[in-house]
Amino acid sequence: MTAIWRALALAAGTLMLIAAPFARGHAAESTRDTIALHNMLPNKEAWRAYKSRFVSESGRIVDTANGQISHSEGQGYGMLLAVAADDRAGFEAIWGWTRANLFVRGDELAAWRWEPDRRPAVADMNNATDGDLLIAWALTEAAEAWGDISYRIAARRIAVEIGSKLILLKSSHGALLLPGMAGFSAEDRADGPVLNLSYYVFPAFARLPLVAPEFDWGGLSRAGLRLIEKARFGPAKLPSDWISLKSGEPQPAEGFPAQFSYNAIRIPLYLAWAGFDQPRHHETFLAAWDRREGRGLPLIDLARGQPTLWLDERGYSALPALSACASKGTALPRALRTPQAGENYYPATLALLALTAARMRYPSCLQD
Amino acid sequence: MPAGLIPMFRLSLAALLVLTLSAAARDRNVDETALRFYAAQGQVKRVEAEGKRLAALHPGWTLPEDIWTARPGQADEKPLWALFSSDDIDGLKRAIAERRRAEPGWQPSDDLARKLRHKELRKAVLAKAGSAQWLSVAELAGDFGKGSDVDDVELAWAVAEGLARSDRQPEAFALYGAILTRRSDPRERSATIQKAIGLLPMVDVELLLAMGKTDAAGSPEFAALALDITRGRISAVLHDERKGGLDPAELAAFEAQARTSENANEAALVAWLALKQNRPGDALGWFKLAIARGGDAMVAHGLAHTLLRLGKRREAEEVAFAWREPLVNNAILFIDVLEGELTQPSPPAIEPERLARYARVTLDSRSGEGAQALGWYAYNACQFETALDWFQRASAWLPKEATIYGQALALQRLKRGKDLSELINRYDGLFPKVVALALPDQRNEIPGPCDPQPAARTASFDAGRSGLTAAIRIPQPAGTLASDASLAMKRAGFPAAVSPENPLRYPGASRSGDMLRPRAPEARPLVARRVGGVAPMPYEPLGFTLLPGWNGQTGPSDIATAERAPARGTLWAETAGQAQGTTRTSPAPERESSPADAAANRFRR
Repeated sequence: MTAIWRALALAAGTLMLIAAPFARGHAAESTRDTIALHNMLPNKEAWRAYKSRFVSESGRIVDTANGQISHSEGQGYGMLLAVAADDRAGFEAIWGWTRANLFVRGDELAAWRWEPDRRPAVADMNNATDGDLLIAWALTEAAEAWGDISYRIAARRIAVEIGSKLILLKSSHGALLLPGMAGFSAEDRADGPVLNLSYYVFPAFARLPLVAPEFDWGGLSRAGLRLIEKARFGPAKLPSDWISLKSGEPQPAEGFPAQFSYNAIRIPLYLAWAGFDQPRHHETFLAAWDRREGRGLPLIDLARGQPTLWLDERGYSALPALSACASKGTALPRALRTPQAGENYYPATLALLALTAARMRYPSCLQD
Repeated sequence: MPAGLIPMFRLSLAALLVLTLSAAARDRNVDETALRFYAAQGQVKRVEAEGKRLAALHPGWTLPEDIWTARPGQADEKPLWALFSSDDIDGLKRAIAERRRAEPGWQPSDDLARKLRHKELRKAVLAKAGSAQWLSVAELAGDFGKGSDVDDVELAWAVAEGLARSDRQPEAFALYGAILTRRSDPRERSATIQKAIGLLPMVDVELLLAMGKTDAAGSPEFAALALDITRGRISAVLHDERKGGLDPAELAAFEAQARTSENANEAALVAWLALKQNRPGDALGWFKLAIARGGDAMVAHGLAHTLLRLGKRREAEEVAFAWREPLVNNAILFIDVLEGELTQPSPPAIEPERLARYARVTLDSRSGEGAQALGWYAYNACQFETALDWFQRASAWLPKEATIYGQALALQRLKRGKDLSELINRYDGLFPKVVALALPDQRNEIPGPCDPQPAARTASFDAGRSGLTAAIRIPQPAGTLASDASLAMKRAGFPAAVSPENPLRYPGASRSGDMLRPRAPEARPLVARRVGGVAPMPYEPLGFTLLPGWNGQTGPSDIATAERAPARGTLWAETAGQAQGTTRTSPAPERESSPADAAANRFRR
């Protein structure tokens, strides 16, 4: 009986969609075992340095290696790090820029790409679902941390939009997360639906029930985990950045390089951050990253299982370090705990995210 | 001893000593050292004698099941069992390891090894279950989840819950079924059904219920759980998992107890069911009863939706307002309900205190939806300064095309040409409706409530929407008009180089330490580029062209982003037509011809 009454508390609805007031089982668990993000980046100096290099005075996160552009994903990362660093003014600046410049679509999702020297600066009206998830998650954490109802309302509006418009409810793999509103569904592509497994922001799925409990985020998370275990291509047995589910079983998607690349390297980061710490969650990535013939982190061509490019900025090495920490308890190398001067936006961001994730989930990796 | 003798002897000994008890009942204070020594030596008669002696000393004691299978060295496990009994698993494992080092070839007895495994599994499973790590529970369970072992019912329940919460409902169902098949304790059986109701689809629960017995009087075993079962069935209806509703007598019985129950959730459940079955009149009464019984903000949310369904918008607004703080769903509903009224072409008069309240909630929640609604309301009331204030906030919080358009109209009315020019230029290439304001023939074509209404034109209007199209002038042939248009556009400050960044912030930005100052570009472009998901710009028919988009796209998109329907298979698509919002439209899904490589090129770093 208690299960039923707990579920009753999950009743929820919106103006458009009155959700059923009972969510059976699943959603209830997700909030119970998660930890708040607030104050999980105690290294204030690291955050100050990050802001001075990547956050404009107007609150725009600048992708320094990519023509100084911005994207919804980067804004989401910045908002998360600001909550983790307990920097409300910084959070307000980044969120303020994000909504004033990216929420131009007419719904509750962000346009994904913004280029400072163009007319107009918004490059594409399409959204990137990971960016929206990151922003909604950061707003949820901000609402929890600082009790501001405006953050909670914005978080809910975005989460409801994702839940009702971007999740394919019934596939043979369970619920699927579309990477964007346009261009990925079976209607839009011959090999659709096409997914990006690095858009599965697992730690967000554990927290979005706080604002939108009527959606089965836990089920989405479990289905994503299963897909990651199935999408193992070529000799390296790694997922490609983009996969097609047209044939039922995951395949590298048409028209995209069949590579384990800039996108997919974040998969183990999100797994570890959500507490998925079993060796089987990380060993295939660690095996690929353990190659020593080049410098840094290899991106892998899946047909041959060979590296195509080595990412030698040090921040990238936080990814294997976090996987090793999560699955083997290996301490995070000291050098990774402070940001590197001269690094670009993406590796510097990944390093701070990994540090935050370790602090949240695996604090013992930071002792010594 | 010849090997063939052992089974026969064991049989007779079993008869002698009544080998019936379960292993769990073994008395660990019985000193079996001598017994196990003789057994290890194969001394049948001595084992028999020692067995009789121990049985006489300790009533209820029986010969250990593994007496003949235990390997040498297993006899003296008393200290190990002591560690086992005190739950010192780590100590026990250490002690076993030490003993194996000291006595090579020594193994703990099968009994101890099996019980140790069980205890470890139990500890691990219950710990993971306690922290709701259900995937781990299901993984740990291994073969245990197959239902072969339901002796430890607490463990079996935890495993079943882990399975059910890991998308492995068929295995959970099998485990619950095994409990009902093999266990007879009525409390355990009831608890099993209750757990299943909370975790399994009701269609599976119905199968478990059918496994119940019937007593002599013919009443079913789980009759006492009738209300729980009805709750489960109602929940199934609410989840679209049960066709055809409930048996009227069953529902009537549930309603009867809900009417008298102190628990507000009972009435609320009846209310949600009525709303789901499109009986808003019934739902209203039940939601009100639930509120009266102390129902929470979610009950109030259901009440507000019911009132909306009954056309009682004013009452819905009050309920949503009163319950806005405990649950943001209500705050959002409050904003959206009045938004629908404020943005009507000829909005109703709204009492000042209601408007003030709406403005306060809009500001507190920094709602772009609320701010643009107030902007339009003020605009249509010819209060353009106020309208601009609200539109600027809306543009800071949710700068959709209609909002920027409203801001531009307000600037136009206030004759703030420079600000208007900046706004139009900022959204060139993105918002056709806004850009149209720079074109001579597309400005101010439709008189609003604040416009002088020229008699001739009004006459041609049907006052209704159909008449509005008459006001749109048909474009003249390109040549002459293009140059005229260019001149007029220049007078309107278009195109002009402006910062592409929307600077509006409410409340104003405060500094937050050292931040980056990106380099200013050498020159701002004057020609817009193509943006994916945007319709043609209004000057394109006049012969002006756009630069290619970031991904090489040259032509406009067939379907503008705002008109795209979500993909088939999403909740939105499944429920489209049943429950539509007040301001959004969802045309039937169509294929978009825009190149898929827009997505492919994303994340080129």
